[in-house]
Amino acid sequence: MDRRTRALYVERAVWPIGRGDRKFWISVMVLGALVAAGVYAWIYQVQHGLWVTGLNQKVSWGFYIINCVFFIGMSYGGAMTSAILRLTGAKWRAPLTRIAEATAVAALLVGAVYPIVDLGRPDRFLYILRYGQVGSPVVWDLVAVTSYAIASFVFLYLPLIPDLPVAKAALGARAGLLGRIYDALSLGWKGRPDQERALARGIGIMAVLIIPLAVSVHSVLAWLFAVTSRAEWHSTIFAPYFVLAAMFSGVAAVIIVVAALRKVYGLGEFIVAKHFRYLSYLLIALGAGYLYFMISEFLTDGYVFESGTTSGLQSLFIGQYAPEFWSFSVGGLLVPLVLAALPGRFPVARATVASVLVVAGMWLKRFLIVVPGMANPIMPWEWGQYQPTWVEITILVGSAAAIPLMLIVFFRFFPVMSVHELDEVEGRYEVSSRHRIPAYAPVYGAGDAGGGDD
Amino acid sequence: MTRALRILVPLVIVVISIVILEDGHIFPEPVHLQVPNGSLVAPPANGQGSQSGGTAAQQPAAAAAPNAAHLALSVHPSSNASHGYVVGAEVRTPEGAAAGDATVSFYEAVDFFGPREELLGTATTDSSGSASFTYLPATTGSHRIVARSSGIAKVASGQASETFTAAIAAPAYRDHVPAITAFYNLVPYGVGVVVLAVWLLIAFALIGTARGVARGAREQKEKGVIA
Amino acid sequence: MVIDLRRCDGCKKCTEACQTEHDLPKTFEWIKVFQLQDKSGETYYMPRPCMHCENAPCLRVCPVAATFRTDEGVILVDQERCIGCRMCMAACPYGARYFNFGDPPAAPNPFQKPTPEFPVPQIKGTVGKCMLCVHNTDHGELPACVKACGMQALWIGDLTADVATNGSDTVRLSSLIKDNDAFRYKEELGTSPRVYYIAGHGQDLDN
Repeated sequence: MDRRTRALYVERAVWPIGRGDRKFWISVMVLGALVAAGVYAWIYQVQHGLWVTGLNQKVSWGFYIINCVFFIGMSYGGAMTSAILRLTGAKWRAPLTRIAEATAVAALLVGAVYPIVDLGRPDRFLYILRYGQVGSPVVWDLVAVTSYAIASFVFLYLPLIPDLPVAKAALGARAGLLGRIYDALSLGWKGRPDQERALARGIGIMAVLIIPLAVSVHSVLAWLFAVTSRAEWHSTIFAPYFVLAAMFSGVAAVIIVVAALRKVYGLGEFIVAKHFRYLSYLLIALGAGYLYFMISEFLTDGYVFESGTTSGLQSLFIGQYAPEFWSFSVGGLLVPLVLAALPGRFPVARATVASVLVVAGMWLKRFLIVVPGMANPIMPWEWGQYQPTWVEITILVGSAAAIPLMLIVFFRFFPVMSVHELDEVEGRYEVSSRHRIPAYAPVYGAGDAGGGDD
Repeated sequence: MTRALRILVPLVIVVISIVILEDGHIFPEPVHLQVPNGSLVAPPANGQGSQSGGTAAQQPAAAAAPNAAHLALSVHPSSNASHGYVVGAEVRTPEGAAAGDATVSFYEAVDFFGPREELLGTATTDSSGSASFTYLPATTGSHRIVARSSGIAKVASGQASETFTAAIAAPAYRDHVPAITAFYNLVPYGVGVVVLAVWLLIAFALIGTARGVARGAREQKEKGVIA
Repeated sequence: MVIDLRRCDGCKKCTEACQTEHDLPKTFEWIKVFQLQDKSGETYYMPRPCMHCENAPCLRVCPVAATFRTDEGVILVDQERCIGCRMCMAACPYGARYFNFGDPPAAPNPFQKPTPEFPVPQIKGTVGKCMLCVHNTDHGELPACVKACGMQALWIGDLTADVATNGSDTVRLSSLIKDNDAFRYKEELGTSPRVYYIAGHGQDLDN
């Protein structure tokens, strides 16, 4: 690799930084308007009470719980593509990690807001801290999600440290106050070997830690359902089932975001078909695992015809939830798996389409877990109905818009690819090479002109 | 007008504050009904029950009829102590003859949502006019038993009551608690240790890295000065 | 509580009395009467109050201990503390809990502040349920539903004193349960409900 390549990927990585062109502002405004609409819907709901939603005495959990599980699940892409690929030393991860980690934080922030949106008395949210009962799954949830959120932030921040001087250099003379913030956050990063060692150790700990933390979050979310005595939920397989679902949808979410940002920021030269193929393999493996779990669940339930589970299974396979169930099973699981597994042309487009189907399908699957579980009669003959209102739909749209909004704002300040990691995998930069002088500043005249000279 | 207001406004304020300070209980609480105790306690004395309509009479006192049956109530500990007490009733016609085939209902005078007579059981008198049933009270202490005989040929119903102190009672009702719940109490501590360890690890990863990087930066600066 | 299904004629007077007593809207059936059919196709009715389970699932899942058990074993809800997460509604196997999605009807007494023992008026955004009329029973009065039942199908009992009454008759609770083969609904869930049902006419709640 020569300097020219390095200049190229540095240039691309910092390209969005400080770039306030019209496209950027239009996107911010459109997404911001959607988010504002969602916030308005929530305020409207707080004022009028939850009756403005489709929730009722029978189906008392709906969109909000679905979305909470869905968005937190999406954030698993960060843990998967970044941490696991880091730990296994997969070099191809380098251009993807930053996007994956940022997506994780953005999706997690959105997902973590949902339990509050769902509360009847959001003003009393802090009562959970004041009167917290260790026996309640809601408290487990709070502890697990908080830990995971903090860990995700740290996991985003640590690999960012060496890139902050790069970001500052990209702004050049415009840095100003922002430059001082970069300086403070980068902690005087010079790329010295001992700094590298400290960073590698920190990232290593977080990469190991983020995986059990991610697993704990979705296990706890699953137990929110599984510890009840409702036949559809009271299942021992639920925790791993949820974790796998989250990883599956998380990898799909990363593929979508990577594909989108690749187009928007022109990263096509670094994020290539190979990346999408590898990510597709990951998606296929997880999807196949999910299919296996599903078969295991339905087979054990459906073989016995226990009185409690039969009506639930009937409603899924041939009853009122059959359209959703079969669209998910075929359109959200089988078709994407085949699409991603096929050899041949258009790997990027196929992976992206498959991922969109998977994400939509996994939302449907969460719907199929929450709503029929609530609607199926626990008292004789009493079926529940659930029809979301504009409030729930607006909040869903607004929260979904918040993720790209957060991402484009984030990448306006921070490099979209991890320059430091690209250096590492390009063999540019060896931790052991004590006497190598890190040549950041001279090389990165990036944001403004082409590569400089030593 | 203003004069009236000067009186009325403070009055309204006072009333409202009383109401508010009363914390919503603007109506006086009903008096709790007390079970009379102590004075009624008497050991069973060979079948001579006190004859009375009693305070616990919800049903009309049958003793009013001129041809009412005579009832004698007795309470003995059962030969098998764990079975409680044998409550026996002897029914006689007004003339003093043993009355067979009379149904005797045994009640206990209780205070349960007001004074009530709790049906304990029924028995039929034999040819000697006696009927009995075994009673294991739910609680120890004073119990007041009321017996009523049904009317039979030419003899109207009669009643008697008897108070005795029970030393034996049925085992107290207990919530069903599976034994494993004792183990549950330990779980939070274990989980707490794990959560704490995770938080410490995150803090270590963040602060340790920050310090390592910052130290490197300092050394770089110092070296620069020396060079 | 013991509920005699042989006597219940489905008049729903208990539900109405409950709603009057606690100023509840019509959709809040803290004691709800279900219409069922036995194996021979005959209709029977099943009132369902809160079961006041000994091993109450709702109590365990509450994150803020807004649901608690009194010394007498009645499960109450402190609506001043409830955060409205509805975890208890998901956990209750009997559907006995009702969420105040909107504003509750105004209480007739504007100065009435809701307490766990008398949650009137209900508080928006919190969960309410049958509280066995502890505001009545504490003062030696029968619960509203028991008073209202014209068929004397509802018995209220005291497990420690072993006594039960339906307002007119008073019997030993243990005998009432044992002699009539009373059972508890969904006993297999291990919730140990404190409400017993007397079937006796081929009624089968598990059908």
